[in-house]
Order: sequence, then C-alpha cells, then structure tokens
Amino acid sequence: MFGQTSATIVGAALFIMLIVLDIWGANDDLPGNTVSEWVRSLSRYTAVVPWALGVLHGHWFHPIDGLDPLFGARSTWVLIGLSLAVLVGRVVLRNLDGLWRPWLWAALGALAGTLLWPV
Amino acid sequence: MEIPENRVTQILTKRAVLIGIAVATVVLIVIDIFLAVDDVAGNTWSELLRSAAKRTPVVPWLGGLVMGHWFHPYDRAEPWIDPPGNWMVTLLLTLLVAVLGFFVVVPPWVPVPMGAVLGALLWPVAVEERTLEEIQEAEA
Repeated sequence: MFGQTSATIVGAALFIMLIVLDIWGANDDLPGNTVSEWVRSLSRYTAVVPWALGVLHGHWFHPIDGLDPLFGARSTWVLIGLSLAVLVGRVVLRNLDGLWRPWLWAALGALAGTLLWPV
Repeated sequence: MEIPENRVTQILTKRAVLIGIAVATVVLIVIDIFLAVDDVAGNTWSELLRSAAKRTPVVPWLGGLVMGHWFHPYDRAEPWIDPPGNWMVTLLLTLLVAVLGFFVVVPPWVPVPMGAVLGALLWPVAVEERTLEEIQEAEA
C-alpha cells in the first residue's frame, strides 16, 4: 500500500507539522512550549533523548554502504542494553553532572547507531 | 505581556506539546514497523532517508543542524550572530550545501558534524525555566 513516494509524503507531512508547531510555539507568549525547548529540557533530565536521536543519526548517515552490525544479529540486543544502561545510569549517577552533557551522549549515540544498527 | 486569546494558544501548553511529541514519535514508529514488514522494498523512513542523504547533502546537513540546535554545550547559549543575521547566514550556508550537492558527491556522514557545529553556534535553543507569571512579575 505504501510505496516510496507515499511514505516520503507522509514523513515530510509529519516533519512539516512539527516545524509549524515549533514556529507557532516560538511566536506566542507562553514560555517553554516549543518542541525544541522540550527536547532540550528533557535532555537535561535523561540522557536517553540525545542518545536516541544520536543513534538514529548514526543509523541513517553512517559512512559505509552495506555496513554490517558489529555483533551480527545480537547487535540489536546490545543496543537495547546500552540504551537501558544510559537510561538507568542517569538516575544512578545523577550526582556526576559533568558526565551528562547532551552533546556527548548524542555523539556516543551516533557512534552506537553506526556500529550496531547501520541501515 | 499578554497571551493572545485564541484557541491555539489555549491548546499549545507545555504539556500539550510534550504529548504531541510523544504521539508523533509513536505514530512514526508504528508506520515504520508497518513499512518494514510489508512487501514493498526500500520504503521505510530509514531507507528513504539514507537514499535521500546520498542524493543530496542537505538531508544530513539539516539533521546535524537540528542536533546542534538542541544539544549544544551551554544552557544559556546565545547565537554568535544576532538575529536576523544568524538566520540569514544559516539559510545561505544551507543553500550553498544544496547547490554543492549538484556538483560534488558528499558522503552522508560529513554534513552531520558540520551542521551540528553551525546549529550550536548560530541557532542554540535556550530553555526558559520561568513560568509566564514569573516573567510578568519580573517585567512589572
């Protein structure tokens, strides 16, 4: 039912909807109600947000076509395990604030997405 | 400071936007699973994005730009160039990347860190921690 063209159109429509919401939220007077502000805000409480988006970027934009996951079929489970560790780690090691830089977890996520889940 | 009295501003509270993001994410994932298991080859979001990224560097560039926008290192970062200059430079560089894609083959990963650095320098999101009432009080 969904060919490449229709899938592209649906994806683009959802993306444009998010952008319109973001612009709308940025131009009203209510503070902190844009998509970007929420993503940034969430990323300070849980490293899973930058990690997950980094994983997706590594998944989509890795350097080598036909790249195989590092641990074969088990790679998905390794990735899920690492993601859970990041989720729990933020709670357990919450006093080590210097460790939880959003950019650092986005970069590590991109590396994990490239090695464990390349499209 | 007054909130415009219309239906949209009544709906677009922080909580509503958070729920919107969550619903959009779930919808995207459900559709992607459906696309992955159907009989049509190469129609998942991931396959389409990878394919688009190989055709034009603008796709990974925009991805990097948004990542830099959201996950820059400093909570109270200001853009290096004051608006609207930052928007004009960002737009100009994005157009340049788009045009470059017609003449040069750019590996998909290369524009991501470049876009991220630009997003962090020219378009860093700042989070407003205060409520509307606190802002009104401070401005009064």
